[in-house]
Amino acid sequence: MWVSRKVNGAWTRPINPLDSSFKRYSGGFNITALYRSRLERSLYYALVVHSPSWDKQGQDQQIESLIKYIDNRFPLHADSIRIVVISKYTRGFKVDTDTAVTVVR
Amino acid sequence: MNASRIWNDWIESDHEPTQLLLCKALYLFVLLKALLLWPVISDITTFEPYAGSPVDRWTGGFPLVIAQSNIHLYMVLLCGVLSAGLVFRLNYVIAIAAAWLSFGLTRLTWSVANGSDSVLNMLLLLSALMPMRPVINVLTQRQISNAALLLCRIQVCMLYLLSGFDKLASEAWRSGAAIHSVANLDYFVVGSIEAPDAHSAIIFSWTTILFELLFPVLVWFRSSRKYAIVAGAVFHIVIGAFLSLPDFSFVMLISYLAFARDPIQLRPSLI
Repeated sequence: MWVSRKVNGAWTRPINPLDSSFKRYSGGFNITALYRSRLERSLYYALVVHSPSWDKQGQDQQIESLIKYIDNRFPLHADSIRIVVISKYTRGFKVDTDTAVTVVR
Repeated sequence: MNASRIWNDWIESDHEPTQLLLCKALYLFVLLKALLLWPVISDITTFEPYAGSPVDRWTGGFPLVIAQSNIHLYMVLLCGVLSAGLVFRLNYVIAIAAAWLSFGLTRLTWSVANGSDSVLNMLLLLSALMPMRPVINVLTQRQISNAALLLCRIQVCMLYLLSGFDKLASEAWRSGAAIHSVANLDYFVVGSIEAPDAHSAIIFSWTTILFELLFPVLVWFRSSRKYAIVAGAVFHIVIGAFLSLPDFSFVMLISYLAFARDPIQLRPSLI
């Protein structure tokens, strides 16, 4: 997941919030970072894994929740936010990647 | 000796050291989990809040009402109960409170929970039947306590057996593709491990399937138990090291304490 925000008319360099938490876990067995990584995964899964019980409003709420989390975790006075989720698929022994979702708010 | 005699001897004999070890290990694990979860708990409950479940109708929402008013108060309560469980002798009040509060914690943190939390809570639920205090009827309490220990063992075996059959029925597992797929999961595999080739994936896959199908059989026989336990320990340590599932590995390793050969010689002060 890549996140970029628009500040003073220019998009910032994309960051991957999931990377930092998971690297803190895998680099030093930081279990608290692993819990944070799982929370972050749960938040962005809503963008790519659609629950049959969610309607459009439910999905929008999940996106809002993710954006609030990013703003809270990485504070920046931004005008807009762009989230790009890249999905990785494995079938048999083949691996493919694709841009699954792009959200701009 | 007939089966009925063996059963009666087992169910009425003293397995308290094994039960004590299992319960204390579970309390220590939940305490460590709560302490490590605590720095993130506010974000979890804020951004992925618990939406309620039908179970709440039976409990009146308790003890989650405490968490909904102040999550840190809930964590203090949970850690207090678990610390008491570690310090004091096993008793029903602490055992039930620990199981209930741990179950509540899993519901509150559903977004970061996984299958290990279900196994943990099941073991805690059964362990709530293990204490012998306060004493009401020693023989009946011992039988209930030993039956709970036996259920823990059966539950662990069923877990492996069902998981093994599930994998055996899956084409992806039989062909090794599932192992290849797991190795390609970002934010799951620790370090930069190369995904195994098809040949290695099949070996890993069938080793896992065979282990899961054989463990529930081999663990019941004294002659093969230690080999089953050692194989299981290696299996879970590898999972814990290479996949981001340390909690699952620790819970399964703790569950092996239910198979500890009893009576374990512990200092009387610990019992």
